[in-house]
Amino acid sequence: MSLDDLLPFLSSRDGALEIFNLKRLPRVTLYFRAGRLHCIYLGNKPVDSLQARSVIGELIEARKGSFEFIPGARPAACSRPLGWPVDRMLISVTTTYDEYAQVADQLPHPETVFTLTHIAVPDDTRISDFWKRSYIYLQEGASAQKLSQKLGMPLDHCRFYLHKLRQLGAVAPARATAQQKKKPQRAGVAARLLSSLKKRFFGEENAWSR
Amino acid sequence: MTKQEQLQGILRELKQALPELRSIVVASTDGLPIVHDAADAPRVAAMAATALGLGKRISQTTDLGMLEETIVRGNQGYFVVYAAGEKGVLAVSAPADANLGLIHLEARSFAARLAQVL
Amino acid sequence: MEPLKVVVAGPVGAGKSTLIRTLSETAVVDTDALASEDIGKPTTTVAMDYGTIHLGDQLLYLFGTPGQDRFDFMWDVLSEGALGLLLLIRGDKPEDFVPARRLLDYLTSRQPVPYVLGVTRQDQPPVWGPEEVAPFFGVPLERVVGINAKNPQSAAKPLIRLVELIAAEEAAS
Repeated sequence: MSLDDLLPFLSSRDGALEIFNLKRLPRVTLYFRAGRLHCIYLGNKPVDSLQARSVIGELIEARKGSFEFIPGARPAACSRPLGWPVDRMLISVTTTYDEYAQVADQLPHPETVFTLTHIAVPDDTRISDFWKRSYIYLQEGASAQKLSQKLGMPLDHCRFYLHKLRQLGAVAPARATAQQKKKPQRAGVAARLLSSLKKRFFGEENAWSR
Repeated sequence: MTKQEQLQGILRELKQALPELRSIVVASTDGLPIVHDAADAPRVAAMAATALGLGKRISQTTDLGMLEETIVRGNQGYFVVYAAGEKGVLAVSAPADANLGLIHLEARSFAARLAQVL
Repeated sequence: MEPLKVVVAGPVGAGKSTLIRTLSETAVVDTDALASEDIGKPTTTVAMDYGTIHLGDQLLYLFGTPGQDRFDFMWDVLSEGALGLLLLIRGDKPEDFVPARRLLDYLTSRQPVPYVLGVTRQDQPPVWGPEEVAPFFGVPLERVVGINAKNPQSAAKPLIRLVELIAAEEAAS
């Protein structure tokens, strides 16, 4: 049985859905109240809205797991309730996953470093959450690998969001152009090499310049 | 039996013959995993193909005859790559105290069997 | 004089091995294996291609990388200590631009490395040229050169452009 099958039942109940025996996640607890997903706990800690999206996505992808519903259960603490309407939750998350499957082979290498351009991100909730959280790291340049560590999110999700941000023009790959400290004997090497190459292939030093 | 099933069968027998092996990958010579018992098979398959390809080239260029195997030895274990026919690669990893001579003996005969199927 | 090294990278079939064979004065050392996938040719590089150009007492090595992503560990190995990078892309295969761009971004975003893009197959229209390719990759036009990898003078152009740009930067600093 998958999460999507359970959601209609959950949209009319108050309580906690505990999901365990998952391959890629520790115990997940989803707290429902008045037709909304109120809070998500991963292990015994509540997650923020960005991580929450990832967790729901992973739950949908998970093929095996056990679950238990505890009517009336409430979270110990929920500083920032998600308030996601249950019936709309699924649509927004699965759309992301369909898109993801289509662009999986276009995603940047996990270690490619991205920096900010001067273009801001419009307030599309899905992207702007990630944008706000990753902003400080992107300012100094960050790869999907680094963001995955700092934000506590799966690597592939970070690659996907960087891909979307790049499409929006908000980030671009850093072209590392810091001047390397050149070894003394390397100075002038390129100039000499240049004239040798031109002579070799074009017969004269001043051939084919830009 | 399909090719895949045959290869899986040979893999199982290799595991039984050499229980000390930490991982086994059978790959194509261009680095794609075919059957395996390893955590990071795609990565290992590509590296094994590179190691074998380079090994064959070194063997040719420095007159070593036909390549038998390529060994990478770390202080905590070995990674050995054998050719499995023209199109295949057999890569195994073993702990540092493993009996390499025995591994070569068994692995080579299994590599030959794999070559028949591939 | 210390030998210099240039890395030639790019997607499968871009023309890396061909370029090196065209420019190299010594027989190219290659590490080809039978391709198990359909890549449009029977063999593919699994470790590297290696060629040399002798220019007086200066030796220039050309190291070609494998094209597939699964060999990305070789990109770093071969790029170590390189003077610069030549990234080749087939001008008649725009579907390869995305993986090529991913490769360029990976190689240039972490360490400063001088680079030039070579767009191959310019002798076989219809084909994308430098003016069209440069904006897609987000690189200045001066860093993109159109070439025919089989022709020695044409194949030498991206190499010469790379060294020109490095020399200009040397002079400026």
